[in-house]
Amino acid sequence: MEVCKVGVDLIKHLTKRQLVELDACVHCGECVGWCPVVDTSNNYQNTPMDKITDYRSFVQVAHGLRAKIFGPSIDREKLKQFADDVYKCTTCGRCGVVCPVGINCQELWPDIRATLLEMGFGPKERIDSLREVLERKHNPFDLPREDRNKWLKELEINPEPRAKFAFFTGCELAYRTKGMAIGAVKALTAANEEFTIFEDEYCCGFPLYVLGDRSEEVKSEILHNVEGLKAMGAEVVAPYCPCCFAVMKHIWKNYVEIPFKVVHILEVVADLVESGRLKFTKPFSGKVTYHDPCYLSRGWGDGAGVIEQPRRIINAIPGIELVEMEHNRLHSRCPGSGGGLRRSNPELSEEMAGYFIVKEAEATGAKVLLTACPAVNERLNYVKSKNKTKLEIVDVLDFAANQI
Amino acid sequence: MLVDQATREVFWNIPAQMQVFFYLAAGLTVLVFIAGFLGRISIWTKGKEDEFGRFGRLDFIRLAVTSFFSPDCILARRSFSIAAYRGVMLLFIIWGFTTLFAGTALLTIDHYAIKFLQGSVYFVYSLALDAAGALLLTGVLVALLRRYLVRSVSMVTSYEDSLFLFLLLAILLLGFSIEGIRISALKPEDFDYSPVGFLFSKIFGFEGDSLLALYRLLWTAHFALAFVFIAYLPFSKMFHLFAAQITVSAASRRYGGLQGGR
Repeated sequence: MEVCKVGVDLIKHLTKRQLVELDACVHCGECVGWCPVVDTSNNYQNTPMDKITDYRSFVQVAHGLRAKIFGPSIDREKLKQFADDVYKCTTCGRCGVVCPVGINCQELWPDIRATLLEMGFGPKERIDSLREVLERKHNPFDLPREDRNKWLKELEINPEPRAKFAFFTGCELAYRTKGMAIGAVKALTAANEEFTIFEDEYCCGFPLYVLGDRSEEVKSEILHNVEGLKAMGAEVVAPYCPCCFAVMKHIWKNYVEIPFKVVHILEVVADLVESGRLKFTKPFSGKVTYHDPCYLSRGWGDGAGVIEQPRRIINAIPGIELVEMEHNRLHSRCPGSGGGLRRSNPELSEEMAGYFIVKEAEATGAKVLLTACPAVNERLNYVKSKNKTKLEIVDVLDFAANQI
Repeated sequence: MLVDQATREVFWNIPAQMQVFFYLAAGLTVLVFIAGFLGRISIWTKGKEDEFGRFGRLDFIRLAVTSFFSPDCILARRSFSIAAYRGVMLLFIIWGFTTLFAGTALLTIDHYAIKFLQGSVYFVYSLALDAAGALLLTGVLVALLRRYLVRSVSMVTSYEDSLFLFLLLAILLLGFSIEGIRISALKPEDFDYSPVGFLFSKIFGFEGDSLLALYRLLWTAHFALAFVFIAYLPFSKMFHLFAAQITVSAASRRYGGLQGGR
């Protein structure tokens, strides 16, 4: 057993509340039945409660009374195995919703990852490679900077050079799920909402942050975005990607003072619909269902989720019938594409793939499954391509924009 | 004994030497508990600043006490939102435990300071503690049933889960047993207003020195296990007794209130 004797700081990135949470876990097992990773892998040794109680043991051995008397003594092999397990998580946060003692797991795992990464554990090479790509291209896909705004140029909509309201595109929407960005911008334009877009956006920092990277690169990406948005006169900034939203709302402020308010684009569009500024004139006949993305429903574990707003938008479309899946709102399922899992454990991510969500959507009798997350959209369409489901899988604003 | 003189004799049938041993063991237990407790809470104070600002140990102790009396904790609302039986189980355990703890504290005050557990006050006290013991026993039995008989695939039981449930069960059964023996030996008026103790007294229906010797043996086992429980508590998952109410209160401010499973 290789033992770490000195210099072990396992609580460096944990807040006081998180340290209390480690001690609050009663090992009741409620989280186990809700964890999508356990659902897929059937690995009952890597459950949220085991991760918490294991880390609690490590913290006690490194910082507790025994450590004060006999010195810290951590088994590096066990810590390495633990680090592998903690990266097998999408940070969907379902465990935190059902936890009877209210542990905020969504915040906890990235901070534990940060600690372990600094000690040299975890998928270090993959994270280093991601950081290097972000340093060069400022998007996680290693795609050309000049292609970032292609979707906007093709749209023939010109945002204002400066405005109080800014739409934050984000890398996923700019490079992959352009339909989402297009839907959002069409909705804003149809409502005559003045908006601007910071065309020199960098990555929001989420991919690195959730994987536990706390390097200067994260700060650099964030600072660039904040300064750029500020220079455009933005007082309210609305992203669409739920991961951008979560990190902009909860993490950016840890790096720099944010001179604008962060809201989600679905909140903005719902307000436009309710105020009558945005009207849907084309009816849609048939049933649709909606999938709540993890970071919109459960928030960053703080519950300030965007849940009813997309439903209000959908219900405003004439003729539409919105039906709910068995697991919706705070209990919606995760398709395995979040929390950095696609990068840290692509095989597990692919295995998770969202089959359960598609089955639940089919069971509602809906023709269309509406999504509000680029990673979910990509993953569910992958399932569609494998399973030949008749379900149409579309982004909610992309869908709604066609009914204007 | 006349009704208005009814009271609890502390250390009944316990010779002085055993009482000395009791106090020595109690002192050691308290020292170990305090060392563990402070060691655990000290870690909390080392975390990064958050909504707890610059909380020190005393702040966390105060928060743990005040949070305990919040509706979310004292009514186990989060557990009820998961499943009704879980809420009931937890309520029985919380109320049973708290009442027994308070009862022990009151008995200590009565024994060393002001005598007030007499007559009708004593009967209310005795009945309340018997009810609390019965509640706690029921809660523990439900927890054991859940872990060992009605198992779901998500129920993963560690040695600590087993240890504490069986420890609590043993402490409770021993406690009722020694109460039963005392009632059987003393035959107090109205069975001391201890219905559960009265039931246990039927098991120990014999008389004489062997009964008194059994009492001393079971009493020793009861307090030994209780002291093990207390001393080990801050080094185990049972420390959630102090942490969970803080996190439950913090969680109640999220998600617009309660959530839970369905």
